[in-house]
Amino acid sequence: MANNKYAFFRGCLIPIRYPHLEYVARLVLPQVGIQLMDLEEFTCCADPIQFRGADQLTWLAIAARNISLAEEAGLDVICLCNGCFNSLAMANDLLKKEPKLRAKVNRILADTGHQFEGDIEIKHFLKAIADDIGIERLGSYVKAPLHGLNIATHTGCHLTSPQGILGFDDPIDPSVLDSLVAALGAEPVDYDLKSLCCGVGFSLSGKTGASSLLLKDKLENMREYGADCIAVGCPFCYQQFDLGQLAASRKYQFDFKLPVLYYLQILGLAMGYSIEEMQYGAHKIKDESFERKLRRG
Amino acid sequence: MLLSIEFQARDQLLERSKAIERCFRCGTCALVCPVTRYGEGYNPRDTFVYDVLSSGEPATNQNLWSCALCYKCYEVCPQDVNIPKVFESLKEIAFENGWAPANVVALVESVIRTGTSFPITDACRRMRAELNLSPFAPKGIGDLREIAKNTGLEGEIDRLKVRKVGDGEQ
Ligand code: SF4
Ligand code: SF4
Repeated sequence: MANNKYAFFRGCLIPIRYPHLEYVARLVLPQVGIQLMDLEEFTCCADPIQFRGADQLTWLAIAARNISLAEEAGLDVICLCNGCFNSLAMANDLLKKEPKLRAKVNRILADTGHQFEGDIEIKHFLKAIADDIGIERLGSYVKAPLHGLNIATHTGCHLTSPQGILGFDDPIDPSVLDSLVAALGAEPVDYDLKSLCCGVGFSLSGKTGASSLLLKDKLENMREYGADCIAVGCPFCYQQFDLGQLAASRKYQFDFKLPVLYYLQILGLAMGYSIEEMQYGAHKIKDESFERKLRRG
Repeated sequence: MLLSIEFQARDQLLERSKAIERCFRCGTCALVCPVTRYGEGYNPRDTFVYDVLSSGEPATNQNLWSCALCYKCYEVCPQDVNIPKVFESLKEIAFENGWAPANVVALVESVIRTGTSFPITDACRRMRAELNLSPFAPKGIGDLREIAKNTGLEGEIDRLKVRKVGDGEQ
């Protein structure tokens, strides 16, 4: 069994709004050889969209401080959220490449007692699984293969772009999450709007009309191609496909429900956990035919 | 004329993002932009990217804050124009001048004061207890204050808040 230790960067959204996903991560990841070390001093990443836009230098210094904590512990960082990953990985890249900027940020950090050294990597948990375990070996953890389950994957924008820096997958035609789902015996669904953003930004800024319209297109397209559920690796995408779907389906009277699962929940199901154990009870969008498919196996 | 930049802050922006000069207005960026496709109030002639960059003073354009920073436009641009970076620069100008939406100022303040982007609620405490997870309470908040003081953000937030109160009284 692979044994890889990481500084566990939970972010804010999961521990605050979706603790059931933290619970699943803590349960499932160590069993596939990914050890999670808690660093209590971690703060918000800060976010790569509005905070970074508002004040890039402070954003960079906050990210640098978080990275330095992991450096001090001698660990690479594992993230549960596309946003955290994007922020920390971009800051890490920028500070490694630009010595002048690094010196400036380290001067800002001086009073905190931390310094950015540039000697660790930032990983999203999907990348950690793909790299440390490998898609081929992932199958050895599968006790209850998810045969017959059709999954529409949504990789999300901030995990893949900018590709030149993050290097995880092709942002326009992503396929890694499909392979990770297929490794568990499930059937990835090839739908047209795969690389379309989830639209959570609309929801977060109160533009529910735009959010619902986007979801209508995206979810109907997934459904058209036979999806039973959605797989994501980001709590913001999760929120959009769960809570956002609730709003969109009220507005447009969908005749279907497409539950969204965080990839680690799907991994847990394939490892033999029940949907209850994978905290499906905390979901807003539930669907009986999806549940029946899982129970049959 | 997609990126026809005719506004006062032009030189300031060019200084931050030279690549803007390379844009040959092909419109590919607008084709992949989710805000152009679904954002409210845009039509194919008046896309999101166009709307922001062709307005007289784009940093004051509130639509700027709709950009999801998804980088799709950047990934497809044949001229390597980094539009998200341009928007980021505009946002920074906007923030400094007090033109950022109130929810963005509140988010920034929440991060530097509490170490989180979202408030830790009773529901959060209850859910965590039910799952046997230890309470969530980031510990590095003192450091964040230090950082915000050193970058000048701390003073800027206070100034912005004073201005907001002042505006309300007029
Ligand atoms: S894709 Fe690039 S070159 Fe074409 S209009 Fe957009 S920014 Fe300009
Ligand atoms: S980065 Fe912003 S402007 Fe570019 S495609 Fe995404 S939302 Fe549109």
